[in-house]
Amino acid sequence: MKKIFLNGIYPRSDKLVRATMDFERKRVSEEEVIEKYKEDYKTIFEMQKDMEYISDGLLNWQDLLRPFSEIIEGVNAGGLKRYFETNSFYRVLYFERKFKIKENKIDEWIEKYFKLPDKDLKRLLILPSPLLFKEFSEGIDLKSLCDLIKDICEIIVPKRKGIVFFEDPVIVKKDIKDEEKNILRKFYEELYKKGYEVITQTYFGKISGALDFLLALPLKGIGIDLLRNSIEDIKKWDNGKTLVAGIVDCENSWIERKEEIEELVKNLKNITKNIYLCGNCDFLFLPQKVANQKFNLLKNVES
Amino acid sequence: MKPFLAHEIGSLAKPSWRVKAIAKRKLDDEDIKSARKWADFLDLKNECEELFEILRKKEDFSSEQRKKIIYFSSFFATKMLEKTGIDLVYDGEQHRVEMYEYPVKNIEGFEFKGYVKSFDNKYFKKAACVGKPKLKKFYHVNEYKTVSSFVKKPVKIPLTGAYTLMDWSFDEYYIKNVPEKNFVKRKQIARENFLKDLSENIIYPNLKSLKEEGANFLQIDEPAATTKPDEIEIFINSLIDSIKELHKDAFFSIHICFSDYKLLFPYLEKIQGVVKELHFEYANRDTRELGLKENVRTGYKILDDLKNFNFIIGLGVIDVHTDFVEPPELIRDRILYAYEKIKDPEKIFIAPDCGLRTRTWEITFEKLKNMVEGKNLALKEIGG
Repeated sequence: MKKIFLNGIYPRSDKLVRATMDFERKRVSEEEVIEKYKEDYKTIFEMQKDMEYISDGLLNWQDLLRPFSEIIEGVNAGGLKRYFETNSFYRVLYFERKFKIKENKIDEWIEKYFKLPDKDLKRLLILPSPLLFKEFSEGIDLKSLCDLIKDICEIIVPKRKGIVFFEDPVIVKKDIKDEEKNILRKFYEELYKKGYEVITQTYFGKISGALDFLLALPLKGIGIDLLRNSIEDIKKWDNGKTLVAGIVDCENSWIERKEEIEELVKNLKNITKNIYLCGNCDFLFLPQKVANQKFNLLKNVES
Repeated sequence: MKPFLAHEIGSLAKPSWRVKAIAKRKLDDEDIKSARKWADFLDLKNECEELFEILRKKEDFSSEQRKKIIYFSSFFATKMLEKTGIDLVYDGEQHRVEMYEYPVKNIEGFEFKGYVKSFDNKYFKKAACVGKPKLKKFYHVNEYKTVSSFVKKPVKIPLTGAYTLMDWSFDEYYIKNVPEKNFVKRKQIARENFLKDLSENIIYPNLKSLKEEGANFLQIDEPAATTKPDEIEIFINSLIDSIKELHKDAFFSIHICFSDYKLLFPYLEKIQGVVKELHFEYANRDTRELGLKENVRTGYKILDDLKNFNFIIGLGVIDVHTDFVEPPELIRDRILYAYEKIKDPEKIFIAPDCGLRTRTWEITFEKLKNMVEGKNLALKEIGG
């Protein structure tokens, strides 16, 4: 099994991009768009056939928060907000005073947003971390969001075997107050008590301010953006934790040399042998052809 | 300068007959009806026979005919803006695909890599810099000459700035040529080199060519300016490198929108005297209530900081993301609120928040007409 994660939202193929754009302009039918989605899913599952944990590339997620506006009553997607220092935008989710999960829609929602080619395979259950969710939400506090995400995990995990994989750029971009850390600590401990395996992937920032906090949490693994962090920055690694090495640059189309990546992996192994490779952030910021090249590079690296 | 000088910002929607003809899709009767409707409304019927003759074909337009179609869409858009009564006119990017793809296609050293998501199902074609950027041609001169031939009013030409071109592109060239092991430092140096070349070798010559053709109002569009807070200083330097001595006898405006403008404040002094007008988006952040009170004009609070600098305030008074047509009285109050802060009507220019490309021409016309009416009400109020 290849120790690689297809992390984050993956870009759609040019054919699917055109179909979604044409659908909005009423030039193609919904059936034609669905067909294109099927082709993309087929490709993306084939790409991961030697992998332990599978993702559907979140191809139909408009952003990491949007699917939750469909499953939570009392939540609406609103205005656009820039996704950190990229040229991509998320829609802010507005929470009404009372909100609740639509119990009768759960199965349909999981089928739509957590696809798997074979139910026996293990799934990479990518979700926004509570801090990321908070960053793009209005009308809800961190504690309530933690409770909500915990409820969502309780719904998904029994139906999809796999690892809960939180994306968290916020923890390395902003100062997190002690009070917030306490809330997060409790959140992760509760997930741990339930027996869930959890990884938190950080990106877009330096890990130095967050590493001690993350290492002390009951996480299976921590993701590090190795374009912004060096081996020196993670020297105090806890060997019990998986290092999720964000090792290819998903913010630039330049394809790294295989030897360079292999050299870096070799050096990382001096820190821990327990390594999975992935992009430094979502592949979404690349056109699909470039993303495929980078993902194939990860697959071909001697690790 | 005229008190409360009114201008638009850049893009307008493209007429369906222009879009379909250029995309090589068949026109239908509605497209031709729309062209006739606007020709009537703008009183251009007698000057458009050639266009109607071409459009009658509906498909299989020759390359020459497609050029003519672009020419006429530019003519219609310019005349439409002129009819609204604004002071500086343009053609709403009828000659361009859009503000990124068009310039990049005219620069050697770039290669389009594919679609990258902006939001929802909206994408842009992103290019990579694969060689040292070199101008293929001065890509706005023909546009300036064409638009100027349509009107007597002064023409303003917007141009995508160096920082935005860099930030919206991948870099496969500069990064390879930086001998630095630390990736973060390497990327930083590569971006500085990339930006310097774009400013000096692409934007400056384009601006100079426009100036030499007689263009006196030049607007640099930099929507990406504040995307990376650590790079504001190099953005400011790139403006200086792009404009150089040209500011001595041309009017330069910078347009930035939907950004955190406060990030710019520590660096703005550096471009005083080089850039005359700073145009930001405000109406999007404002309420629709009438009045001059602080709790009503919430979108314009930043003027308290900006008034301390020596710039003409480019005041966004129209929200471009809604079909709500701002009544003249609302425009008036937004202008008067700014006037109370700035005190000098010649130091306030009024405009929409951004380009109006997402609005229909019908809505655009109504919004801009009201903007001019609102300006006149404000002038009356201050006894101008």
